Amino acid sequence: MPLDPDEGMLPLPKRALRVDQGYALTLGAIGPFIAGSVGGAFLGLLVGAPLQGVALGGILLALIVVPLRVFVFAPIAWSRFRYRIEPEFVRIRSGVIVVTYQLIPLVRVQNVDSSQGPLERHYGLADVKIHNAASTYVIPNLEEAEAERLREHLAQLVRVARDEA
Amino acid sequence: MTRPDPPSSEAPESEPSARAEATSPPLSSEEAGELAAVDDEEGWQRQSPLLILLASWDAAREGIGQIVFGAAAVQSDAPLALQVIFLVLIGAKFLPVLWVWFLTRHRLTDDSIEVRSGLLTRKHTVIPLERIQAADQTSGVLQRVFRLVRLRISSGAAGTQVDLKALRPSQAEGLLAAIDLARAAAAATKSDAPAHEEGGSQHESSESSESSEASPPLRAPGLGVRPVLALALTSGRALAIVATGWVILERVFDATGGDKDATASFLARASESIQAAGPALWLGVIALGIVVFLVASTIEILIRWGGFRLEVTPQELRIGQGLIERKVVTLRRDKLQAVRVVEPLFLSAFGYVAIDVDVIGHSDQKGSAARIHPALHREDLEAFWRDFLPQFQAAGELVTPPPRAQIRFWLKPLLSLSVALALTGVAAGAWGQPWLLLGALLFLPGVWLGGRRFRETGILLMPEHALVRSWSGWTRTSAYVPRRRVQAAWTSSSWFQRRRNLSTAGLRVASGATGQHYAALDLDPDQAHQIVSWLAARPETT
Repeated sequence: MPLDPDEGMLPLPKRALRVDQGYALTLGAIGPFIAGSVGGAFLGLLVGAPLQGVALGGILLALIVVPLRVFVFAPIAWSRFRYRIEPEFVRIRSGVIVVTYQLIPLVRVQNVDSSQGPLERHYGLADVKIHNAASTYVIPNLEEAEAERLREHLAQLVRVARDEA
Repeated sequence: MTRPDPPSSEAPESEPSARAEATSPPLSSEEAGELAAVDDEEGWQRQSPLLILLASWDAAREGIGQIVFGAAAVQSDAPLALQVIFLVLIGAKFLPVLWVWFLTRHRLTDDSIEVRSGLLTRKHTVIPLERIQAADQTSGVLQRVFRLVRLRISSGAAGTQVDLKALRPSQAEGLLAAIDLARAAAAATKSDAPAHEEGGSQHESSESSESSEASPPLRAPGLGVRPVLALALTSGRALAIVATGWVILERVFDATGGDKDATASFLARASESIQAAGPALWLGVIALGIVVFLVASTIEILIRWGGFRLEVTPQELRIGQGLIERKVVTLRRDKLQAVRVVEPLFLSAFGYVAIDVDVIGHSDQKGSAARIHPALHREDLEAFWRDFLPQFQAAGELVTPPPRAQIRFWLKPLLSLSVALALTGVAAGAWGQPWLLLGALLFLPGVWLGGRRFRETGILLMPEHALVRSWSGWTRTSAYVPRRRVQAAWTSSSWFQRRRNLSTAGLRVASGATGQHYAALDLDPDQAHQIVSWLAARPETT
């Protein structure tokens, strides 16, 4: 890897991968199904069987995309993700095709929140979101306690780090 | 007029941290509450009643689609339900006009501007004077007719923009003067520190503000004939204008001729006579086309940029522009998030560049930046920079992509050109036509442009700010970002970049409501990563 040596960078818990795979399998199937249905409808119209086209196209695309997400993208994304909280910065490494390494100064963070979807709740995980004036940065699927601690810690740091708007 | 104490929750002094303040929806607070009658003792003011007219005009403009469709629905035998829906939609657009004037009130307290508005959702917005990022004073056609002023004030928080559309000139002046005074006072405490140093936000004395007020504002070189011509020649929108004009002309021909083929026969006759007259007339027609094009785009540029002036005082930049809609934008110099020199290939061929700035909350019509100079001659650039943006000097050598990245810079324009050519070929049904080969000649400039992009991309990291130079399309952008304005630094590498061991380095800044990023492509990973180390290098203390 050409990117920074990952000293002190923390990985996500193992269960985080299950959450990602779970979402890819359920919610993640909807998008490809709809896209496939639309494509299938057009192709079906040409052949004169639009309804079959809708069903076939949707199922086919979902069958291609979902396993790809579950078995390829999610594991890569999970294994690549690293984060680190420093007194003044947060570092995040993430990405599947494009690997991104970000450094976010806490002094400019506007607010920090954590959130939990149904699957996260089941596995006892939570996302931490860091907002600043330019964008939002997510550390997904942390252990609940860790997320809580992190959110409080970050909020504390943000409170301490003063800046003029 | 007595001014009551400002609401304690928004007073800057009582805030432990500016950022903490922003954690809650920052500067506005909803007040569920009483329909407070106007109380002049509290200093609440209404705008000119002509606001009703202006608001109706705006509603009509925004709802034009609904009105047209609604009218069509009523005219035709559309189902009753549809007609009702359209009438309700139109009504909903115009209904607020009834109370907008009565319920929108503003007042000036010692340190903030407050605005109340809304019927069902009562809104009470408080913008501390000190937090104001940009004030922009626009006089549209209607405002000019009635001698009113539109004032938009943004605080930096997304969505917290106060828009007072029908201020009487005296009201507007009062507000602007208050903003100016607050700025002067705020700047006074910082005047001993350079503009790019972090300063405290409290203000106690205003002595030095007098001296800074006294010095006359510096003025940037304006727009002469030549920059306007250069802009007109390179403005892409001129083409659209010519096209629109052509369509209108066609309509006129249709209308006058009465018969459908009038235009076609006119064209046919024209082309016949052109062929008969030979190349001289051809050239004449082309020259005429160019003249029409030039005139159209010159008019467009003049409408937009006529009367351009840029002034700078120690605290702020003031940009005035526009012939028909006159706009005066005031930006605080110490709140600039980034400054960029924009060099579109063709404009810079004439020797001109444009200057944009990123400001939180304020945005121009396009993108999220404010253009502070549309066409500055390169010879004036250095002086301009020295006078207006002295904190952003570039010192040193740009870190540019390594030689192994070169191929990527060439491939990209060539690939996109090939795709464009192929698509044109398919669309025109002209595969294998010899003239398509002419398009292949474009590959040469493509390679040239790739070479330029390769040589002129990069980052330069200086102690207090960074320069990121990048290309998008035909435009070279050099962004100067103060270190303390960086919201995030990043490096990234796509799969293709990883194969060549390259990565992109970028900076993210706050701009408009969304943010903006500047990135240099295909640098050596170690060098790219310096942008991260640069931001992380010195622990920031305040």
